[in-house]
Order: sequence, then C-alpha cells, then structure tokens
Amino acid sequence: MTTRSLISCLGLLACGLLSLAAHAQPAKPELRLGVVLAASGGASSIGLPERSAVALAEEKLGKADLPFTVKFVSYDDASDPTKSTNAVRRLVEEDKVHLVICCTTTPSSLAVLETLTTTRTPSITLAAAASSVEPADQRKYVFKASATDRMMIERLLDEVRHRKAKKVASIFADDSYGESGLNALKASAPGAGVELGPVERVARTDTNFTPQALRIRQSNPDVVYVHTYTPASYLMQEALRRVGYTGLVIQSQGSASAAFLSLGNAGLDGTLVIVAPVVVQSQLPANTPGRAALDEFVKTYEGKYGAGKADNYSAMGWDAAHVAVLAFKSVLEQKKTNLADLGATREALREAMESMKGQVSTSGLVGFSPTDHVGVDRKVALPMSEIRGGRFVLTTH
Amino acid sequence: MDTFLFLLTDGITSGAVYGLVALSLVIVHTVTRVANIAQGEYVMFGAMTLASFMEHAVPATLGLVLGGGLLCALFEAWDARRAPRRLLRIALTSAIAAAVLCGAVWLTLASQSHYVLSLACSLLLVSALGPVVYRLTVQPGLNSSAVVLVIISVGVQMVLHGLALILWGAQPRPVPPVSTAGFQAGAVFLSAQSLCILAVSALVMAGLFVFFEFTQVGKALRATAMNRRGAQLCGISVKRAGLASFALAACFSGASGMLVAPLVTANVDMGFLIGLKGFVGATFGGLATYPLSIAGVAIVGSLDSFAAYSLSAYRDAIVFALILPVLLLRNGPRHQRSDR
Repeated sequence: MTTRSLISCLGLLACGLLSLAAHAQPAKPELRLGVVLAASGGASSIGLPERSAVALAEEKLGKADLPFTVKFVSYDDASDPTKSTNAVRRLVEEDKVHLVICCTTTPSSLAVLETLTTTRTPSITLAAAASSVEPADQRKYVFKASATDRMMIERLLDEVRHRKAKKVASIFADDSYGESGLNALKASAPGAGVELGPVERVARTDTNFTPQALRIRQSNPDVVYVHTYTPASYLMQEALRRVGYTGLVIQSQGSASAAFLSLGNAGLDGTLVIVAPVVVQSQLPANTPGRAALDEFVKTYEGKYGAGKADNYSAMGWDAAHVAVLAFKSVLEQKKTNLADLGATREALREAMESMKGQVSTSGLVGFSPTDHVGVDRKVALPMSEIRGGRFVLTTH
Repeated sequence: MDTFLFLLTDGITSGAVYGLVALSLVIVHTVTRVANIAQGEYVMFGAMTLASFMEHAVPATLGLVLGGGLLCALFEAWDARRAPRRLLRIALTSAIAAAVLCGAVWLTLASQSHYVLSLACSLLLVSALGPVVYRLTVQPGLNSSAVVLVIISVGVQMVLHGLALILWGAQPRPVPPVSTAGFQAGAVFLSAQSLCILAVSALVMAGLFVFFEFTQVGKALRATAMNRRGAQLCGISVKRAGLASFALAACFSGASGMLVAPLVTANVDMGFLIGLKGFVGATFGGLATYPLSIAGVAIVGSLDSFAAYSLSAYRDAIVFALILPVLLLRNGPRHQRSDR
C-alpha cells in the first residue's frame, strides 16, 4: 500500500514538473490547416499528387524556423462531395482549424461552400472551375491560387485570334470539368469574335471516339479544342487523325502530363497544349515572375518523389499550403488579432488573404482583392506549349 | 452514306467488345444466378495484365491470383481438416496451379514478352481470377437470394477496382495493336484490330456453341443452368459448375479487354462502362439466352455510335434508356401468364 502511494506521489510530481516545463517555454502560436483532398475515388489521379505536395510542405514547414508552428489535419473525401462536406464540417467544428484547403474537384468545392460561408472559415480550393471562386462577393471565404478553366478558355481564344483562325470546334469531357469549361467557352467566344463549330462531349471511359471526330471533321473547323483528360484527350485526337482531320488541335491543361506524351509517341507533334509553368519549368525565361519559387518546388518535390514527378496538381497543392502560411504570417505581423479567438483569427486570415499582393508562387505572382479571388495572371500561369519530338516546348509570343 | 458506314463499322466493333462481356454475363447468370456487376472489371484486368507484359513487368494480377488462391486453399483445407487425403490433394493441386501460373509468367517474360504468348498468359491469369472470386465471394452465400448475390457482386466490383488502382495507379498505358495493318473498304478504313475483335467474338460464340452442345462439361453447365437441384441429383457438382462458369466468363471478358486495349489504352477505369453496356445488351436475352444477347449488343453498339454522332451529350443516356422498353417487353407477357 505504501509503495503504491509513493509511486502515485512520484507520478504526480513528475506530471507537475512536466507541465511546468511546458509552461516555461513561451508557446508559439499555432496555425491549424485543414486539408480535404480526393486521395481515392475517381479524381484520385489529381488528388494524390496534390496530397503528396501538401505532405511535403508539412514536412518542410516542420523543419523551418518560423515564429509559429503549423499543424495539418488531412482527410480523404474519396472524390465524393458528401464526404467532402462532412470532412470540412469536422475540420471546422472538431479540429478547430483556421483555414481549409479543399477540394480537389469542382462538385466538392461547391458542396462545401455553404459550410465555409456559415462558419466563416477561409479556404483555398484546388478545383479547376471558375465557379468555385467566382463571383467573389458570393464566395467571400474561398480563394484559389492557380488558374481557372475560364482563364484556360481565354488563353485558348488568345491563341485562336493570334492565329487569325475563325471557327473552333470543341470536345468537352462530360463531367464537371467539361461542363464548366463549355459554359466558359460559350460565354467568352462571341466577345472574342470566334465562331463556335460543333460542340461534342466524350467520357473518359468511352470505347469509340470516331462519331464525334467525324462530326467535327465534316464542319471544317480551323481549330479543334479538346477539353478533357488523358486518355480520352489523346484518343480523341487519334480519332480526328483517323477520319482525316489535319488541322490544328489545341489541348487543355488536362493533357499537360507525361502520360499524354507517352501515349502519343511522335504522332502528336504540332499539337498545342495549354500547360502549367511547372511543365515547362526549365524552358521559362530566368526573369519569369516566381521562377525561383518554381525551381525550388521542382527540386524539393522531385528530390523526394522522383525525377519528372512534379506536375500541375502537385504545384497547386504546394502553392495552397504556402499561400495559407503567408497569410498567417501577415496576421501575426499586424499583431491586431487575439489568436485565442478562433473566429477572429479566421476572419483575420480571410482579410490577410484578400489584401495579399505580389507573393511568389509556382505560377507567377499571387495577389488577391475583394473582387478577385483568383490570385494568378493567365499570361504567366498558363503558358502555351507545342509538342515537338515528344516533349512540351514553350512557344514564344 | 460514308458517315453511315463509318458509324456502323465502329458500332459493330464496340458491339463485339460488349458482346464478349454479355456472353460472360449470361454464362455466370444462368449457372450461378449472379447478375455480375463486377464483370467489367475482368475486362480491365485483361487489358492491364497485357499492358504489364508489354512493359516487361510481372503483372500484379499474378500476385492477386496467388494471394486469392492461397486464401481459397486455406478455406478448402479448413473444410477438409478431418480428411488428411483431401488435405493432401488440396495442397497438391494448389501447388501445381501456382507453379503453372508462375511458369507461364516466367516463360512469357523470358520470351521478351512475345505478343501472342503475352496474350495467352494474360488470358490464363485473368481466367484464374474468376474461380478465386467465385470461391471467396459467391460460394459462401450460395443459397442466398438473387438480390444478395447482386449486392455481393457490387462489393466485388469495388474491391477489384480499388485493388487495380493500388496495384497499377491511375495512369493510362498504351498497348500495341495485334497489327498496324488494315485495308480501305470504300471510304472506311478497317483496321486489323477491329477485324480481329470481330473474328475473336465470332470464334468465341461458335466455340461456346460447340462447347455447350458437344462436351460433357458444357452439358453439365447447361444442366445446372436449367435446373440446379435436378443437376445436383444427377451427380453434377454445382460448386464445380460455378467455378467453371466464372473461369469461362473471366476468360471471355479478359479477352475483350485485351482486344479493346489497343483502341482505348489500358486504364483502371475502363471496365465499368463496358460492363454496363454489355449488361444492357444481355438484358435483351433476359441474361439467359445467347443469340438474343448477341443481337442486343449489336443494337447497343450501333446505337452508341449513332447517338455519339448526332447527340454526343446524351449518348449514354440514350443507350441506357434502351433497357426500359426491353424490360417492359420482356416482363409484360410473363406477368399475364402468371395471372392466369
């Protein structure tokens, strides 16, 4: 009996000492970042590189000498909007995060919108659709530090006008990526003086691409724009060749991957592909804004995951984590916010995001405003490349 | 007219691909009562296995079959734990099966992935997957209702798809065609691959007819399909019939995957939609009659092609809407009969 009470006394003493030691060190403020990405399910090929990049950012930030600590809480939404909403609610209410990085897909990003708005939690989305962040007055708490599909369409129209082409036929994926891109094209084409030819839809899992290709060839377009992912984007182009279309094909960012090149071998030469800076990193002029940040990202990421692995998606994940950290830094520097107050910190973070200007990222300079929640410029964030000899070559103009 | 021919040839080609899946569905359904939602995944496994061989890699299917086979052997051994001779036989057959599979893979890789050898070996591996799935998922619930069996097959589909995603990743892989040759028939260019798909489908259908009409195993399968209890009383093992039907079905679906892979690349998502379209075709025959199912897939393939040409946004909706009138027509008269 006496031994046992002695042990418990000692235990209590040890606990007291430990807590004293913890109190003796001035506690650093903590930034809690929630992450909801599609690590499994249909969008996992996009979600996995995003998650790897966020994990790498976590590792780097853990080692960095910062005036605050960063805690990441990650959930997988399995590409399912319902699961994304549940995960975000859990992050906001139970994990008490300050900012959420969510989500990989457009449907998920739209589904979590209400939770974010009602709980006043700022977020950074990785989804392609402009509708996930625009209009900014209805998406007060959502930001995006990478190019949207609307910017991609504008980049396409820039190119079409530059080539003095008139008629554009197009093929869109029959999911949210395609739907959103198609709406953007329909909205922007008339203003750009571009005539829209047939608009066709394909699925990633289709087995026959000839019918759509036939219809497009019969309309004699100057340019064919393909807005879907591999392998459908490649198979569509192959079908166009088969039915005898020889004109220019422009591919969306969905094809800006090594997988696309490896499918086509040399048969894709002359195709234009809208890419991300990371895809043509080594070819970018040294004075490109953000080049140093891009180089550092590629070096770090490929150092960990292997050469040639850095892509558009991983770059987006990396940027999202860094933009969040930058915003928290500026909140701390202003010293106005009581960090113990969760709601006030979230609001301060949102304001810090909205007033962010000229910060470097892998796709050029990032800056937001109350009317613009897409941080990047399309001229820098969406370089145009041409496939030559089985690689993406930056085109200059 | 040229457009029509183009669409028709492509429609028939896809129809032939769906056709092999429809045949698999009919075999499985008649013998085991399983409306196999997971059938499309064997298509994907066929394509991915072939793609692995083309990359001179050991296909992950081998590990899957060996692992699953080991589980099956353990289950069997547990059932036979009091009969040492049966135990010995189980150990022996398992070892032989594993050795044959490993040997086939080794031989294929040793031949620098010779195309024909790769096809044969992939077919062998995928066919072996069928009985493994049957033993692990269908046999334990052999007397469950048809609905339970369908739900089990949905689970199997999810597991197989998930496993493939882990084993191969989401990246699509190119697969070379049987031959790059082809010939110009009027305005339409017919590739050797399309002709090959048609030829193999026709061959499989003819082979199946011969198998069911003239071989003992085929007759046993047919007997099981007609009346399970009766067949059992005649000494036909329902379990063996189930294993054989799953093996055959996996083989046909796998073949369809290997044939279609050069046209659409091998990727882990390819199976489900092909499986569903095969399903729509097979409903024409009520998942029970072969000739009607073949007619069904020909209609599905052509409709697919023409719908994609004229209204590409709704092509899948149009194809799947086809199932409604078919179900109504098939079920209408039978209801009347049962009322009387």
